[in-house]
Amino acid sequence: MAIKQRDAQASFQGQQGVGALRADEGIRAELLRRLAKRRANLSLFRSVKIRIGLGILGFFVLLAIFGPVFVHQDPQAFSSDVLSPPSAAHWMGTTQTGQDVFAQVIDGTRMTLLVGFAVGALATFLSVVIGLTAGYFGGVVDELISLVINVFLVIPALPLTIVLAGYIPVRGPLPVAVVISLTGWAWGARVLRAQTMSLRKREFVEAARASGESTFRIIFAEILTNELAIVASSLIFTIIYAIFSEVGLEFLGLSDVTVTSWGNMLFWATNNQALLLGAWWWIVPPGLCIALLGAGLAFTNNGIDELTNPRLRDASRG
Amino acid sequence: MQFLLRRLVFYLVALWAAISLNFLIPRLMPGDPVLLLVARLQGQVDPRAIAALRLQFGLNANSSMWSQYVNYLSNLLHGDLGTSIAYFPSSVAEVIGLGLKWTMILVGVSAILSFFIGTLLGTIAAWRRGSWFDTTLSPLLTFFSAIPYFWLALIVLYILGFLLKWFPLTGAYSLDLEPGFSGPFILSAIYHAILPAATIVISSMAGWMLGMRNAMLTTLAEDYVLMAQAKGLSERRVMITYAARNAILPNITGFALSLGFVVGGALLTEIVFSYPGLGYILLQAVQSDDFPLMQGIFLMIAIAVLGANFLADVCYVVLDPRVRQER
Amino acid sequence: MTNDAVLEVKHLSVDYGSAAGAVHAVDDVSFTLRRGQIFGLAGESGSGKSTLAYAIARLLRPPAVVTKGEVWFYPRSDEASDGKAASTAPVNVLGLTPQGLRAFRWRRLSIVFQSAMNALNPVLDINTQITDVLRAHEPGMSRKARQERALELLRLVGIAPDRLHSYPHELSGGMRQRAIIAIALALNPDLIIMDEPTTALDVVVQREILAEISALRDRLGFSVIFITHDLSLLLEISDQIAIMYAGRLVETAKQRALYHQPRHPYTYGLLHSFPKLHGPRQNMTGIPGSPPDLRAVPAGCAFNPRCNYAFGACQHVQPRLMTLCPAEPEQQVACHLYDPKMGPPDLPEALSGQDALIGNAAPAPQKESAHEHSSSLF
Repeated sequence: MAIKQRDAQASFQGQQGVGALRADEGIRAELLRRLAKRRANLSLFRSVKIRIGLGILGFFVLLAIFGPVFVHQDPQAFSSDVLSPPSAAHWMGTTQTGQDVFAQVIDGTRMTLLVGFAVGALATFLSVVIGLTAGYFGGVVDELISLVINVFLVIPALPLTIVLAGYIPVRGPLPVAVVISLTGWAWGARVLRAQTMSLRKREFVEAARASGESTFRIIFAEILTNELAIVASSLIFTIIYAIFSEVGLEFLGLSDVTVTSWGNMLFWATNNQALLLGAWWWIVPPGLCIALLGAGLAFTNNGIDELTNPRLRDASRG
Repeated sequence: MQFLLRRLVFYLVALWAAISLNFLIPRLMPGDPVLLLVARLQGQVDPRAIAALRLQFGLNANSSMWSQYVNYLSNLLHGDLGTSIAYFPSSVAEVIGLGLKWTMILVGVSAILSFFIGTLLGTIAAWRRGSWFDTTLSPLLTFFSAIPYFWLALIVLYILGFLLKWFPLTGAYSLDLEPGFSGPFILSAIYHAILPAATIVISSMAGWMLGMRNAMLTTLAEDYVLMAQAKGLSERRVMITYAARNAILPNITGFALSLGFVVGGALLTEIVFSYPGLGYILLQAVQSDDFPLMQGIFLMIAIAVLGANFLADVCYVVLDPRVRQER
Repeated sequence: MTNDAVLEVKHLSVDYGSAAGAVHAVDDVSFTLRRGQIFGLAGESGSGKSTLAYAIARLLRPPAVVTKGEVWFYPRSDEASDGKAASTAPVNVLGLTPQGLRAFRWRRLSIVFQSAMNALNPVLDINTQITDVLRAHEPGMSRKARQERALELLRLVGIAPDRLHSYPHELSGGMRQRAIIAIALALNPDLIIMDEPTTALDVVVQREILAEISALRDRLGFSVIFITHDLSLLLEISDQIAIMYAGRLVETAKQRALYHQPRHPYTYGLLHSFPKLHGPRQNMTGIPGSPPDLRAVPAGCAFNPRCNYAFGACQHVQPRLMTLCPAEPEQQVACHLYDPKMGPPDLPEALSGQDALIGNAAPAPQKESAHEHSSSLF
C-alpha cells in the first residue's frame, strides 16, 4: 500500500501541476523504454537493489515450486500438539488445531504467489488494453477512458474490493483474484496511456500507418513492443498491490478459509486470539514472508527507478 | 479557480460513479446473492430484517431497474442508507455514525502526521545525501513500507500491549469513563489511539519519505537551486524555500492519490486493535453478510476520500502559482 | 574604465572523477580579467567553459573537483549600504571559508544562468527572488528600501514595474532573462558570469539583451565573463575573447584582432563555420571531425587530429599559450605553428598576417585572403 504512494511521487520528475502529470510519466516511461533498448540490459543486473530484489523474489518462487517437496508434514493435518512454540518437531510451532506452522508457511507460498501473479497478469493485461487504446486514439475516446481511469484511481480500492468480494457467491482464490484485478488496473493504465501518447507521435508509427498496417497491429505489435520495460515495471507494482489486497481480503475471511495461504493463516490466527494466547509463532512467519516478498519487489522497482532517473543514482558513481 | 472547478466536477462524477457502483454490484452479480442471503438467513435473523432487505433491494416489487435506481438515489439524498442486518434494527446510517468519528480522527491525524514526518525526513535525507541518515533510513523504510499494516499492528500490539503492557489492548477509550469532552476522557482517548496511530504512521511514512527524497534529489539538481546557492542565501532558505517547496508538490498529489490505500490499511489496523471505528464495523458486516452495511461503509469512505482529495487540490493551488491561471 | 585587474586565474585545473579515471574538464587555464571588461569565452559543448566558470564561482558539484590552481579576486573600493567601506583586499576565492564564501557570493560575483525558466524558482514571484538576496546580504535594509531597489533594478533592465509581483511562468522568455540579469545586478557586483544567457532566446530578443548588457556595463562598470558556443555573439559584444578546446585555452585576443586575424587553426575554423551577410561568397569550411572524448584526449595538441596544418611536433608536445608580440601581451595562442623551436613549416596562407611569427623580421606580404576579413563584421 505504501509502495503505491511512493511510486506516485517517484514518477514525478518535474514540478508541473496535476494536469501535467502525464508529461512526467511520459518522461520516465521514455527513459525506461530507452533503457530496455540498450544492449546492456545487463546493466539492469549491475544495480545492487535489483539484484537483492530479484534474489528475494527468486527465492520465494523456488520455495513455492519446490518447497512442499521437502516438507514432510501435511500442512492441514491436525495433531495433539496444540499451540506449541517452535521445537525440534515443529520448527515454527503449531496452531490452535495442532497444524504445523512451518509446513503451512511453505505450502502457503504457492497459493499466495499464484494469486499475486495471476492478478498481476490479469490487471496488467487490462491496463495494457485500456491504456494503449486511450493513448493511441486520443480525442473523445481518450477523454472518456481517462475519466474512467481517474475515477477508479480515486475511489478507495480496498473498501470497493471488499464489497465486490462480499457479494460473490463463491468464495475462493479465483474470485478474489478477479475482484482485485478489477480494482487494480487503473494505475498501470494511466502510465501506459501517457507513454503511448508520446510514442504515437514518433515516425515509426506514421510509417506503419502509411504502409497500411491494421490499427490493431500497430498498437499491439509496434507500440507495445517499445513499452515492454514500463509494462514490466507496472507488472511489479500490480503484483505488490495484489499481494497486499489478497492478504487483506483473506485476513477478513473473504476468501476460502480452508485453503492454505499466508493471509488465511493470519485470519485463523487472529480469529483464534493467537496474540492473546501468546502464540507469536503463528503470526510472525506469514507476515514476515509477506514483508520480505514485498520488500524484494519494492527494491526491484527502486532499482529500476534509479536506473531510469540518473539523478537518483549514487553521486560517486556519477 | 478554473482548475479547482474542474476538479470539483470530476469529484462529483466520481462520487456518482461510486454511488452507482454501489447500486449495480448486487444486481449484476451472478445468481443474485441477495436471494441466497435471504435464504441463508432465514431462521437465523429477525424476519423483519429480511423484509427490510427485500424492500431495500427491490426483490419484492416488480419495479424496473431504473425506478429502483431513482428510489435509491432519493433515499441517499435523505441520508437513508438502508437497514443493517448485523445490528438490526439500527439503520446503516446510525451504525456508521457510531464508528465514523473514531475512524476519521484516527486516520485523519495519522495520515497528516505521517505525511509531515515522512516529508521532513525525506527532505533531510536528500539534503544529507550519502550520510548515515540517508543510507540507513532509506532501505529500512523501504522494508517497512512492504509490511502489511495489519501485520505490523499485530506485532506492535503483541510486544507493546501484551508483553510489555505499556498500552491498552482494545478500544478507543477506557470503558469506565463517560464519553464527553472532559480532560480524563480525552487523555484516555489519546492513550488508546497511540498504538493504532503509530502503526499507521510507521507503515505509511515510508512512502512519503522515499517519495519526497526522490523528488528532492531531482529538485536539487535544478538550476534554480544552484542559483539560490550562488546567491549566497542561507542553507536553510535554499533547502526549504527553493528546494522543498518545489519538491513537495508532486508529494501532495501523491498524497491524495494514495489516501485510498492508507484508509484501506487503516481499516484493517482498526480491526487488530478492536478500535471501534469503521474497520471494526466492517469486519462485523463481512462476517454476517450484512450487505447494506458493507455498502454503506464503502460509500462513506468514498465520500471521505474524495473530500480529502479535493482538499489536497486546494493545497496544491495555494502552493503552486502555475495552476492558478489557465494559459 | 580603469585597467586594473578584477580577476586572475592561474593554472586552474578541474577534474571529474577520481584520480584513476579522471577526466580533465579544465586543464591548466590562466587568464586575467580587467575591470569593466567583457571577456568572451567560446568553445564547443564539452570544451570546459561552463566548468571553468563554475569553478571560479565555486559552484562545482561532485564529482567535479578543483585539482590545481588559484583564483584571485580584486574587489573595487565602494561602500556597502551600511556606510562601511568594503574591504579591498585581494580575495583567494578557492580558499574562502563557508561564511566568507556566502558573503562573497552575489555581492562580488554573480551569475546569469543559461535558461531563465530553469533558473527562476517557479513558486516565488520576481519580487521575492530579488529581495531575498537583498535580505541575505544587507540585513540593515528596510522592507521599503528593498522594494524600491527591486523596482529600480527592473527599470534598469527594462521590465515594466507592474511586473514586480509576477511569477516566472507569467513572463515571456526575454523578460525572464532580463529578470535574471536584474537579480544579478542587485548588489552591484564587480563581476558577472553569464553562462549562455541568450542561447534559449530568439535572435531578435537576443540582440536586445546583448545591447542591454553592453549599456549596463557602460553605466555600472562591472566586468563580464560571457560564455557561449556562438562565436558571432562574442564578436559583437566582447572586448577580449578566449577560445577553449578540450578543456584548454587555445587562443585569446582582443575582439577585432581575433576577427581580423585568427591565429589558431581551430579559431579559424570556427570563424569560417558561419556565413557572413556581406562580402563575397565563400566556401564554408567548417571543421572536420568532432571534439575529442575528454576521457581520451589526443596526445600533444588536443586539436591535432582535426587540424589541417598539423605537423610532427603536434602529436607529441602539448603547446602552451604564448604571447606572439610583446606589444600585445593579451594576444596569446597555443599552437606550434608560432613556435620556431618546434620547427614548423611555413605559416599557411589563412593564418598569416602582418605580425605572424615571433622574431620574424620581414613582415609577410599582404595576401588576398586578408581582404576577405576587411569587410564589415556581418
